[in-house]
Amino acid sequence: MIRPESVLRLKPDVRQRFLRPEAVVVRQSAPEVMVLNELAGELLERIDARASVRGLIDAVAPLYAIERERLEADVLAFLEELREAGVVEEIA
Amino acid sequence: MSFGARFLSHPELMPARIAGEAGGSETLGLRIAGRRHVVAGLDADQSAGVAERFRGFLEADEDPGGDVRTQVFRVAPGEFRAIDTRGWDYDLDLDAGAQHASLAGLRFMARIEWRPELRAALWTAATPAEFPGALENLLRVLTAYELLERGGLLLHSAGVAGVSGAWLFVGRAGAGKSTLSRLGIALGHSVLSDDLNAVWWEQDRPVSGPVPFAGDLRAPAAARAQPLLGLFSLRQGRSHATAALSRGAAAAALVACSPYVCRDPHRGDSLLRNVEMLLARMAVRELSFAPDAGFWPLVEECEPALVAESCP
Repeated sequence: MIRPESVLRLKPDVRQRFLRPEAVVVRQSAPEVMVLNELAGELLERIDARASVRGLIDAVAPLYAIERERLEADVLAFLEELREAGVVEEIA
Repeated sequence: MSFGARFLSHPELMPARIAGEAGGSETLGLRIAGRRHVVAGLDADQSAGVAERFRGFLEADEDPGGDVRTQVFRVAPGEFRAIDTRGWDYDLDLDAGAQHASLAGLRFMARIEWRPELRAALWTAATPAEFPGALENLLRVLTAYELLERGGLLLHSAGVAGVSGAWLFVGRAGAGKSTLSRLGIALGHSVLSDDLNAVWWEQDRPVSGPVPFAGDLRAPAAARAQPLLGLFSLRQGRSHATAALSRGAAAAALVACSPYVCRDPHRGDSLLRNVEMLLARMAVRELSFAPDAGFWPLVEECEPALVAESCP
């Protein structure tokens, strides 16, 4: 389960491009292509195997007029979906 | 299943460099998607078969530079597994690495290298009748990579030519490419290919042209590069309609219809870059169509809008 302290990275077969306001994610081992919304794109661009999930939320929070608590819940749920879909993996 | 195990008796002995016993001494030139390819090491039967299969794409003129060279080598039939092809769904094995890609199929194996320049080798025990098909399988993959290097794309698509250019209708198997192509022919248009078409850049404009790879219809005829007038993502429906696709959805449609390279983790960024470059110049619309020719006015109506959108 992804937590605010988790550190994530994209899986090696994943490539992504942020075509604002959407992001395109390719899982090449499948292959599978996904189109994600802007918030997802902002998060994916910041997943670098160093920043914690809390750090990611801190970075995107100023971009959206959403209560911090709700944003955190949405981001955690979304990142969990990405993990289950094989897009990201938890490394710490 | 590991690479090559379906086709090769000894996958672990797949050649690690371009070398071997040439099949013969004949050489043929082909022009594919605006780039000259040279196939060398052919014997007389192989050469005749290739000349027949790729007739419209042969190029006799010698051009000392800029070729993509494919060297053909002969290997013993025992190098390949015997396969009962009845009811068989043929799918190549492709193993793409950072420096080279390996390919295995029915009675052939191949290697594509990028350094010092893009080139390929084909080791085969195919009969003269089988040989053009084995070469075509390699050329499909090689063309996808060659276009990627030039900023282009090889797209699963139906290509229909008009007076001033061509439209591409992208879609995976079952999307209706051959149906649409037949309808285009019935309307008096010429079809580039009902399966694979190339997009590349000439004088800073996207152009399209056929590649010599047949789908359900006859093998495409060679034609000069034509300006790309429009891109549509196909969806079979009960009525005719077009709708704008967002850039993200358009990119997803193009990536999903980019065979071979969409699976290559070493070139995924190049694929996305090329898709983004094309989308900066040309919108993609979704086309839903029923199996009758009534969709065509919708395509032509879109033409001016697409051209206008493509011009910054």
